[in-house]
Amino acid sequence: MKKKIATEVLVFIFLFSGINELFSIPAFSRKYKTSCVTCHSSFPKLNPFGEAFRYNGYKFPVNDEDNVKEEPIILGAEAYKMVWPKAVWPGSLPGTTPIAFRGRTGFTIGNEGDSLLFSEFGKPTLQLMASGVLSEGISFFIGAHLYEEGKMGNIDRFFIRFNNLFKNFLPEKSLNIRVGQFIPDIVPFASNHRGITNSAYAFNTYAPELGTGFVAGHVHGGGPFGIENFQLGAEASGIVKSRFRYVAGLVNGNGTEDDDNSFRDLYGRLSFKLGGMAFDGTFRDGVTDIETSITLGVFAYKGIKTINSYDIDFHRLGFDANIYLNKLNLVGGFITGSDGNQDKDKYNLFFTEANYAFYPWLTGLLRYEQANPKGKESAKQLVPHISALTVANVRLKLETRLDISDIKFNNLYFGLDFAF
Amino acid sequence: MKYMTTLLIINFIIISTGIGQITGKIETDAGKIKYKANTVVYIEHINGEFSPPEKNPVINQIGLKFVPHTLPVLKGSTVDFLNSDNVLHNVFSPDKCANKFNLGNWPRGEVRSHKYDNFGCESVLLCNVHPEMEAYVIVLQNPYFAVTDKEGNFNIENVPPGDYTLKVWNEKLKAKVEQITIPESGTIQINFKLIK
Repeated sequence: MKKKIATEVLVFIFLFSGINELFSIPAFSRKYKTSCVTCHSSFPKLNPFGEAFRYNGYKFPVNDEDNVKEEPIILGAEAYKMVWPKAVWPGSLPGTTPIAFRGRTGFTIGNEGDSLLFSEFGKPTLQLMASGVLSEGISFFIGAHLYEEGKMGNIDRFFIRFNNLFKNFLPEKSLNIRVGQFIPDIVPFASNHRGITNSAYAFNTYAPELGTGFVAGHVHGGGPFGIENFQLGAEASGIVKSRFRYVAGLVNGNGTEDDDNSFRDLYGRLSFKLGGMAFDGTFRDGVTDIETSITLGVFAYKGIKTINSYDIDFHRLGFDANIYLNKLNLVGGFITGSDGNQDKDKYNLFFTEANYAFYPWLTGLLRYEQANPKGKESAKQLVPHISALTVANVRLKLETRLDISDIKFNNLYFGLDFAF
Repeated sequence: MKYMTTLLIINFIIISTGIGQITGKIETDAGKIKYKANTVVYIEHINGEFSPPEKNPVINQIGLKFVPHTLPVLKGSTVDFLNSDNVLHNVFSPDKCANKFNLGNWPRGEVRSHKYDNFGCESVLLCNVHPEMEAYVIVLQNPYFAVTDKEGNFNIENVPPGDYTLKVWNEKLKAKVEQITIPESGTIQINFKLIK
């Protein structure tokens, strides 16, 4: 009986999607004429190849030129490099406008107070992403929430990345710099932008002032500090000996709003990957997301915020791990921080998450997060989630968020996520 | 001097009567198929003096492209650059071996020329009006060369018998140098693989 129900659910999913008719076509898909699953295990979550693609400035990490199917518009023959500075350095434009859209909507059933059950269709979110390369050494990324939960949105990411700087003197891929507005690359694999759950990672968004509650998502303006807030600044990153990666950044520190002081915030990350595809896209063993690997990282963020003309130091420190065991992906992290000198300003938080690819199109996820603000009760939550790709660019999701301290049914979320 | 001239003429006649032929194909990895075309396959050196052709080789600027994209010529050849477009074109080369020339700008139907004096020169041609345009002139010692077609095929005819070094020039990729022996008559087949 159970098997019959499961089969019917699968048939419904396939009928709903028209599985044979759609093909994933966001900007990079179009450029390389490849499916989303080349880079995403279940979009927007990146697989190891997708991470290497991102680290390489949105290019195939090895032999990019061989894989580009959509010829770029050449803005100068390569030989113009010989003529510089008497001519403009040669560059290129993407062959077609490199724009992609992502839309999300959902339906929630939940508790209101202790007993009242409610249900609601959520307002949609429409996101625009534009990204590509402007020359061998320059990439760009623009992301904007055009419409977000009933409101006009904002630009979230807007940066230019200079890749492979000083390549005649430094090892390949060892120095890249991006400038503009971006999310500091502190914990790449727990990014809310590249996560499959509807609930944001508290790891990235939690601040002591939130007490026993978890913030729902990104901070666009200058609200509670989270390590994944959008920030204005510059960031250097690079890969050393294929398996070590560093990130060092300097940002305003007040989200996307004007800074409230003249100090810049600093952050850094060091990570090491053992096994699987290396950061630079070279292989040791395994292919795409079917690999056995472990990535370990440490990070730190130090900033100053100004409240009522007082400059207050705050910081975050942490470590994380990302383990692939073939179809199982385990992720975890610990962060400790302080937003001031008093005990109430201190906290620590840890999370652990398991992702399992039952099939390439069906992923199950279970995440546990616990924030321990000093002097207050801990905030805990459990997020079970299932994502089903009906096709590579249309995803159905089913998720709930459970409060562990007081286990009861909180809500059930059915979501639809698509990109084109 | 008269003796030397006679010897050279005899030598040239012997060379000219050879009926050897070299055919083959250029192969690449899957992502580099576009480099199969416009690759020059040539014999590095053959004894003798070879004069440039009486009729100048031509590079046409048409549809905002240099055609052909690659032109092998003999040392001392003068190349004519014809503008067939309805826009002004320019031709210049930043290469020392081509004497870093710049022929200025000229309209449709007009021709400007440049002489290539340095053997071994691999000179890029650019147009400063349309920076995306690019072509190459390769200056060789002898006329036993061929430019590959789209599929990478080449054919060098009338090669005198002997032992030679066969080389490949490509704007981006390289190929292994091959030592070949051309028999008194007949065809030898040789394929090359272009790699980074």
